[in-house]
Amino acid sequence: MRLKIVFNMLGKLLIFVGLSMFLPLLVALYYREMDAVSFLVSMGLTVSIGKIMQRFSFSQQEIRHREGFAIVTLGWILISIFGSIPFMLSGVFDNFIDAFFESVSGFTTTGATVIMSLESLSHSILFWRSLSHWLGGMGIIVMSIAILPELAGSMQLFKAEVPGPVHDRLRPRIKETAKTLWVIYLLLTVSQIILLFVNDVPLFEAVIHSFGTVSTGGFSSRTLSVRAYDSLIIDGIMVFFMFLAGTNFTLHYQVLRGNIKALFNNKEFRFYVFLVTTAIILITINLRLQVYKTIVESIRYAAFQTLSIISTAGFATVNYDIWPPFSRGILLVLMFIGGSAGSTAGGIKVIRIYALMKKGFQELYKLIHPRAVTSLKIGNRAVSEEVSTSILGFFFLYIIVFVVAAITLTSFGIDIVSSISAVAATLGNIGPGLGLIGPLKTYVPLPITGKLLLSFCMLLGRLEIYTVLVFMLSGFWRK
Amino acid sequence: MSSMVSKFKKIKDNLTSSPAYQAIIYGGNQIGLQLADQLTKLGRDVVIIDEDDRVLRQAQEKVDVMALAGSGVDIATLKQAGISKTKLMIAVSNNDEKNILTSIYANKLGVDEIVAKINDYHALNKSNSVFSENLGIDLIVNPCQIVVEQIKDLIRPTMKTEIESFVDGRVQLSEVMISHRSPFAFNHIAQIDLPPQTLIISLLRRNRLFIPHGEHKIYPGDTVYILGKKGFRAKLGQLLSKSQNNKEKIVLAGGSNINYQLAKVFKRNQAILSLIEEDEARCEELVEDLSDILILHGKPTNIDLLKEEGIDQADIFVAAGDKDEANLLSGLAAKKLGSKKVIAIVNSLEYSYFSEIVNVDTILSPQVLVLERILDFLHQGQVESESILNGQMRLVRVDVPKKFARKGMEIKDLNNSSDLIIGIVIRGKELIIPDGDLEFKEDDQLLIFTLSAKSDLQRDLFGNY
Repeated sequence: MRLKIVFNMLGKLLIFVGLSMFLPLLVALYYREMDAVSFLVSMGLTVSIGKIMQRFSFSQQEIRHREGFAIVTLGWILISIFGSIPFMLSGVFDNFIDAFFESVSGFTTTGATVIMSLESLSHSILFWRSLSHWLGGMGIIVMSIAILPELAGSMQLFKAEVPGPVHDRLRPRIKETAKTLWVIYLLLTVSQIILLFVNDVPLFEAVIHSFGTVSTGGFSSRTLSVRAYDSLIIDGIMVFFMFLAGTNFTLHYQVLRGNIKALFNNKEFRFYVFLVTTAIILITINLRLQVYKTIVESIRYAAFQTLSIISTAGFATVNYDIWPPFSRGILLVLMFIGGSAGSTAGGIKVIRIYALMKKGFQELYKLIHPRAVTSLKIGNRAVSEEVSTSILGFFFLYIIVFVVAAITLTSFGIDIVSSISAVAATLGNIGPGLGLIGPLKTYVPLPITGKLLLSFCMLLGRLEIYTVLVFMLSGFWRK
Repeated sequence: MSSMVSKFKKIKDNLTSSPAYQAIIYGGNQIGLQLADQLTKLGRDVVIIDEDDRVLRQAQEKVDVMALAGSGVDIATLKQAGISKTKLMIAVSNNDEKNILTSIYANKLGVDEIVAKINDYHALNKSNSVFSENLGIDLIVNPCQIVVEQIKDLIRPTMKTEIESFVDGRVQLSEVMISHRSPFAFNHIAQIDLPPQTLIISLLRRNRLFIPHGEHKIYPGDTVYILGKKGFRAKLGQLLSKSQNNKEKIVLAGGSNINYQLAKVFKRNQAILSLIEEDEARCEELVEDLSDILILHGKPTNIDLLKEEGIDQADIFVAAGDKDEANLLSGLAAKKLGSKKVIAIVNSLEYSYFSEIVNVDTILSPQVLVLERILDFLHQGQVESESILNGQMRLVRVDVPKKFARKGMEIKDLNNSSDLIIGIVIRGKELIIPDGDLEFKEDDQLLIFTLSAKSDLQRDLFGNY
C-alpha cells in the first residue's frame, strides 16, 4: 500500500467535489437564498483540504490494484463526509450522523432520506441532494477519469467503481470510454429534463427529478415524491427513463450508433424486459383483484412501482406498503435483483441473476449426465470459470452482508419486515422499503447506529461489495 | 492563478481532443503487449485481438487498450475492432498463417500500414516482394532472420546498409564501421576509391559528427556514412571485404533454426564452423543439409566436450539452443573457458536484461529485436526525414537560382562552408550524387545535408544570386 498515491488521488477527488458545489451556489444566488454562504464555505473548505492533501503527497507512481480499491473506497467515504457539510452548515440537521446519512444516500444514488418535509428546504439544498445523485450515479471516479489527464489509463479505478461482473469497453481507451459513458448519461438527463419541462413540470423540479431518475437515485423535491403531480404523462415519462437508466449503457451506445439489433440480441436486456413485464403483469392482476377498481389504474401504479424498484430509483406514486402481501413480496424480490450491469442501477444485477440461474440448472443437468462437459454461456459468449466463480462469490457475500445487517437491525427492536426491507433497500441503493420505512415514511425513527450501519450498506451496494470488503481484509494492508 | 488557468486549459483540451489514429494488434503475447504499451504512449488508440481470454484480461489491466477475444482471421472480429477506421495493423501472433491471412484481410479492408511477424524462414526466402507488392504487407519481421543479421553484424562489424533512405528510397545511406583491417583505414578521404555515384557525407568520431573533406584521414573506430544510389552496397561490399582473409573459428551451440541459418551464412572459406547439438536425430538432419561444418553430438553445457573441441581457440561462440537457461549457462562456460566473443540467445523477455548479471558479451532476444524493428518502422512514418542520424543532421531542399545555373557554375564554385554537403542533385527525374565538377543546370534541386540549424542556406550557398 502506497499511501502517498492514495492521498494524492483523494485530494484530487475532493477538489473535484468542492468545485461541483459551485452549481448549488449558483442556484442559491439565483433564488437569493441564505444557503449560498454555507455552500461557499463548504466549497472553500473542501477545495483547500483537497489542495493540502495533494500538496503533501505528490507522487508519480502508478496506481495498482490495491491502491485502486483504497482510492475508490476511501474516496467515496470522504466525498460523502464533505458532501454533508452543506447540510450541516445550512442547519437542515442538528447532528452529523443524519447529514452523513443523507449525503451517502445521495452519492450512492440510494435516495433514502432522513428529512421529514422537503418543502421546508431551500432550493439550493434540494439541488445539492439531487446533484450528489447525479454525480454518484455514473461515478465520480469515472468522471475524473474522463476529465483529468493524469488518470487517463487507470483501469483499476474504473473497474472498482463501475458495476457489473465484466467490463466492456466502448472505446479503446479508458478515458474515451468514460467520456462516452458520461455523454450518454448527459444526453439521457437532458432529454428527460426537456420532456418533463414540456409537460408542465417547473424547470427546477424537472431537473431535480431527472437527476433522480437517470442516476436511479430517487430524491424528489416534494415530500409526496412524483405523486404530487398525479399526471399519467409524467408517470409515463418517469417509467420510460427509469427503464432506460436500468439498462446497460453499452446498449445505449450501440443503439445511438444505429445498431438496434444489439438490443434484441442481448440476453441480459431480454431477461431484464422479461422480469419487468412479468412483475408488472403479476402485480397488476393482484392489484386489480384486491385494491383498485380499474385496470388502467392498476397497470399505472404497478408499472411505476415495479420500475422504480427494479431500476433502484425508489420514487413512489402510491403507498405500496398497503398493497396485498403478494405484490409487496414481488417488490421485495425486485429489490434484490436490481438493474442491468453497466447501468446506474444498484442491486445484484440482472446478468448475475441470469448467470446464477443458468449455473443452477447446469448443476441439475450434470446430475442427470454426470459426464457432461458444460460451459456457462450467456448469449453466444462463454462465461469463464473465473467470472462465474466471482459471480457466485458476489451473491454469497451479498446475502451474508444482508443477513448480518438485517439481524443487527432487529437487535435495535425494529420489526422484521422493516429490518429486512431497510437493508435490502439500502444495499440495493433503492431508498424506500416496507413497513417502518415505507414509501411515505423516512429513515428518521432509526437509531444512530442503525443509520451508520445502513450508510455502510449503501456504500457496499454502490461499490459492489468486493471493493469495500477487500479493503477491510487484514491482508490488504500487509506489505 | 495562471496555473489554474493552464490547468483548466489542459482539462478542456483533454475533453475535446479525441485520438483518431487507431491501431489493431493481433496477438496478445509479449511482443503484442510491449507494442501496445509503446503505441498508447505515442497517443494512438490500440485494440488487441487474441484468442485467449485470460491473456486479454491481463493486457487490459496492464495497458490502456481495448481487448477483444477472437481471431484475427475472423472478419466479424476485425469489424468489431473497428477496422474501417484503423490505420495500422500489426499481426504478431504465434501463428504464421494466421498472421499472413490477417494482414491480407486488413489490406483488403483498407488499412494503411500493415506489419506481420512470420517465424518460418522459408516462407520469405527472396519472395519478400510478393508480400509487399501483392499482399500489401509493409513490413515483415522474421525473428530468426533479424537475429541472424544481428549476429552477422556482431561477428563482422562492417556496414549497415539502408539506415536511411531518401527520394522514395532511390538513394540510401549506409553506415560503415572502420576496423584496423578495413581497406579504408588510415587513408585520406580523397584517396579512397569509392564506386561512382557515392559520397561520404559524414564521419562519426568519438560521438561527434562532422562533414569530412578530402584532406581528412579515416582512422579505425570511425563510423563513416556513405550515400549512394540503390544497389550500390553490393559494390561497396566487395570493396570492403577485399582484405578479409583470415578465418574465424565459430562454435555454434544448439541445432536451432538460428544456428542453422548462421551456418549457411558463413561458408567454409570465411570461417571454421562447428556446431554442437544434443539430439542425435537433429544432428543427422543437419549433417545432411549442411556441408563444410563439423557437427558434434553432445550437450553444449558439457565442459569436457567444449575443452576437447578447443573452445579456448574459438573467436565466437553462439549459444542458440531451445532453452534460455542452457544458452546462458553454456555461454557463461564458453566465456570462462576462453572463447573470445560469446553471444547468447534468449527467447523470454525477462532474460534479455540479464546481460549485466551474466558475464557473456551479448545477450540477444529475438523478441526484443522484433519489437525494435517494428518500432523503428513505426517511427519512420512519425519523424519526418528532415533530420537524420538521431537528429544530428538536417536535410534541406534548396532550389538552384536560375541566374546562377545559367552561368554554368560548378559545385566547387559555391561558397565553401564546412558544415554542409550537397548530397543529391535532383534534375528532372534523374538523380545525381555529385562530385565537385558537376555543372549546375536550370531547375536543379539540391538535397543538402547540414549540421547547422541555420535556415537561410540559400543565401549561404549562392551568395547574392
